[in-house]
Amino acid sequence: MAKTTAPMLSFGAGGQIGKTMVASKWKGVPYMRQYVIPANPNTAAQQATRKLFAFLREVWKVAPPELTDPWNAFAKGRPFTGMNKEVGENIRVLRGNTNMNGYIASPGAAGGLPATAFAAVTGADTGEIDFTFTVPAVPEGWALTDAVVVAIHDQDPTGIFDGDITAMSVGAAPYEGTLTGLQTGEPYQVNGYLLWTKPNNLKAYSVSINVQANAK
Amino acid sequence: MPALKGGGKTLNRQPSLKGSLVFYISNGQFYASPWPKKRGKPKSAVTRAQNEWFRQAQWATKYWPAQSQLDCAKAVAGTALLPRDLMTMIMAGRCYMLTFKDGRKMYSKQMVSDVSQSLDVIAQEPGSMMFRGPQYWQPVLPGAPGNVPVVQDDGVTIAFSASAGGAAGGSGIPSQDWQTASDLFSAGFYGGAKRFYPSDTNLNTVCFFSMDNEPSATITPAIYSSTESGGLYDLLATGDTVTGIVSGLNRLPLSAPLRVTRGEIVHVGFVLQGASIHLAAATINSVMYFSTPADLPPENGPLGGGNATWGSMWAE
Repeated sequence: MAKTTAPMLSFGAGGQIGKTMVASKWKGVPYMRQYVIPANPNTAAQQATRKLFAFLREVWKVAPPELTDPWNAFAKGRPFTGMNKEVGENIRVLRGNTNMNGYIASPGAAGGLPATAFAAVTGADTGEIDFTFTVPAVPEGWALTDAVVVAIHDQDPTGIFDGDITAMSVGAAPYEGTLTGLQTGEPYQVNGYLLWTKPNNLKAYSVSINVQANAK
Repeated sequence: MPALKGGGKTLNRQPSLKGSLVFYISNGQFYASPWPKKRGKPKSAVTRAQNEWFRQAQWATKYWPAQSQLDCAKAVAGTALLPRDLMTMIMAGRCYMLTFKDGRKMYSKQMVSDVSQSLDVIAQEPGSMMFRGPQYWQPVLPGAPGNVPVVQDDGVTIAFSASAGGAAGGSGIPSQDWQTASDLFSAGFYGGAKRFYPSDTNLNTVCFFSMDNEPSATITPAIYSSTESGGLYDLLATGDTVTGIVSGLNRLPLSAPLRVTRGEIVHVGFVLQGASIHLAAATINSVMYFSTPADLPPENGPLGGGNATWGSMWAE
């Protein structure tokens, strides 16, 4: 039975009504919908997608701001959250994979211009990966705020995420650096994107470029 | 409790009960209807493929080189398009056009193809032309070699017909199988080519074919109106004197464009000095007017005339 805090069409309600309607809230927005029993065919594909979904949710929970900011910027003013979009887009990319090749760290937001090139290679010392950005000419009135790198320990995305994410920003040329403290000899999905400040002071995120590299 | 959702941008959508009822105004009538169902997955494989192409195209636009993205942003500035719209159109190979700073416009090959296919509605036969009829654009069906488009008696319809040639009725298009006129033209004024213009036209140059290359020759264009008897009348236009005549097509710019009206007859000519030349003969026995010494003849002619195998002068 729906528990209303005031009569219908006034303050609020929650729960199902006679198994015909459901009243609930999503992010503080109350709504009513038809009562439905969700389908659960429990196929192998559905199970794989659920595992992948859970994996990406775990990634999001421990993600540093360098990973969440571009997604949240993308979702701003739209009827979904940054997490919704991050999970949704990466499910498309990673479904059926046994590694995280192609993982998207930034969907691009507000028209951020992409790097001309991005490369990551095994570093000189143990647990290191070196990265290099080639950046485009800075348009008039724009400012290149940061070149951002997010490295995620590569693993089977249907397993349990081990929580290994490292991020780093470089604020001035040359846009290159070294990620440290990585697991020795392990593969990483290294994503690079550019953070701009546009003439209207709006932050703009480029889409990320994904490469794989092994830590030394 | 159901949320009262705000109205849409157009104000036709009224506050509604999300998930239950939607209220809107259409044609001044207030309507309440069930909350629209989600569209769901497209049933057609073609639609699904197109949707997937579009989704991937949107992603691809973000990976375009920075300069290309900026160019697209400039191209759509002030329009209803977003840069990604233009980029998507380019990737789809559909209609798009870019205007450069110097005013040049660049169209896609696909756009040329699309427009061409549209024009096929009017005519599909190679060599066809198009003119605006009373109601629609209409085709001018292909003519035979050497034919020229001629306005028909109704004053509107155009059809290919055999060239009338030099003196009267010719539209100024030179024949390709011209021959060398026997006359050698020395210094003087030659204003023989009488031209009838079937429609309002701006004339910018006096043109002629020379059979000789004469770097030392100087030549000045001139266009006169015609008397009722066909002689020269008012000097309508002239241009700077040009030094050097080349073998083949010569163009003499007028100082200012000359507007001639439909049905007007003018005499196209030039003043030749410094050398003698042969003109290419497009017609024979056309009436020409000439005078010596080599200077622009006085108005209110007529001057002396005669028949000659010349007449390669025209204005365009």
